[in-house]
Amino acid sequence: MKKLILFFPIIIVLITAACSEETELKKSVFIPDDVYSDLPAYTEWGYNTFGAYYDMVPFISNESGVPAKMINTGGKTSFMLKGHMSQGYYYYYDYNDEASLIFDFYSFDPQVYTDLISLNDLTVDLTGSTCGVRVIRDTANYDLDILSGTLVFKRAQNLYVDKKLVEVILSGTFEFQALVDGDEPISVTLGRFDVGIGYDNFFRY
Amino acid sequence: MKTKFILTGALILLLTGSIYGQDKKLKLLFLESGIDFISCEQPEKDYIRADVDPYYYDFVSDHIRSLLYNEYFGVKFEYRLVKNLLGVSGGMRYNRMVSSIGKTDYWTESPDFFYVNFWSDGTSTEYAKVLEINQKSDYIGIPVELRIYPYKDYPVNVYFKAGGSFNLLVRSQTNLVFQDETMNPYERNVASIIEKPSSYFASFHLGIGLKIGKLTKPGFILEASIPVGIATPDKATFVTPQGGVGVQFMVRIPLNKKIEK
Repeated sequence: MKKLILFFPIIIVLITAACSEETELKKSVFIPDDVYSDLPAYTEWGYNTFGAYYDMVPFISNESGVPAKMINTGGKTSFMLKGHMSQGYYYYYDYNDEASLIFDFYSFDPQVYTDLISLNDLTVDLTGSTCGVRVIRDTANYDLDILSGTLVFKRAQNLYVDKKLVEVILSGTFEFQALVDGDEPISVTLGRFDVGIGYDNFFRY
Repeated sequence: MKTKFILTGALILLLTGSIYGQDKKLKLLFLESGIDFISCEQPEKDYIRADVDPYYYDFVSDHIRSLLYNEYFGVKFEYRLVKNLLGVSGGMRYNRMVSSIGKTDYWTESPDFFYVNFWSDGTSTEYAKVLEINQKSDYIGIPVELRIYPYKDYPVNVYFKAGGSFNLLVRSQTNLVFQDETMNPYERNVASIIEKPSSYFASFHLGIGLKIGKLTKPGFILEASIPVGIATPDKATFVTPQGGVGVQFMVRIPLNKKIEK
């Protein structure tokens, strides 16, 4: 029991140290676009926001969830943007409107999040055979047949805070036309993202 | 430029003194000290990472505020006109203008630092966690003031004033308070991205004063200035002044013992 009491302050210190990671950088900062005010402005600060019009309906990140994840598993790397798809607001939304847009890359194999820096100034033709696009809505997974479109990683930056590397900021744009389940044509326009990928949202297994 | 400015000020003082010495109008020497508090626009800086106010959902705010005050001391001569109902004064003063940017989240749980982007190239960006940015700028100025004394010379008296000053930068220094003290060696690097102070500024004010003491005896003066305005030539300054208020304390020394009636 005495040992436990002795260890207690150490445990508290460890927990505090773990929490003192750059939590502020994980927050979403929604700066509205000057013209398309439903969408976040294009930025390169790692504001953890994204937005696009999915068949004219705003599809944007929200502040309650992790807006972006990079998942390397099963021979592919997926860049997942998770938010909600509805006319309306950044802060108030119906959980039934939650949706994810996932870009799959079959020839990109990052081992750690710092490898994402190789995406800097990279344009991906979404009609190519080395990538795919999926949408998750109402827990259903829809594969998209891309008719045309691109995903552009305009900038990838190693972000140092007080001289310590904390994450990689990915900023870019996307736009495409596709068939949902080979049936309904949709368009995704004016897409933009500015997200930080670090230890907590990069996965490899 | 600065030397010429100081010489001009000194010449004004000498001329004023010599004029005073030649007639029988009331002449006064003021030793002044004061401070002006100026409100500023909310800072929107390209080098500061924005933040969103969690309690005002419809607004995007930077959670940071600017502060500006100008403290000064100096000497002035006043020359009374129109049966001592008007006073015209001029002199020289030394100003220290302090401007700062810091967090103001006293009522929220967000931290008291903000991120300053002080270096960036194609694939690397560096932020520093900063608690405060302070800029101290010293100016030499020439104040010019007009006072209206509508009442008789009671020992305690109220009067009105209007004035302005033109001030020239002598030196300045920008300091940062980092959240992590190990960043202190990089202070000069980070400070180099902060805007430089204006090379000069002009200020204008209206006010009311309280004179204590007989006119022919040494006494004190307390003045309140409202509003106080500051104009700078540069738009891209560290803080953007709006308007403010000021207080001034003066020791009044009459230079002649008799008043012209």
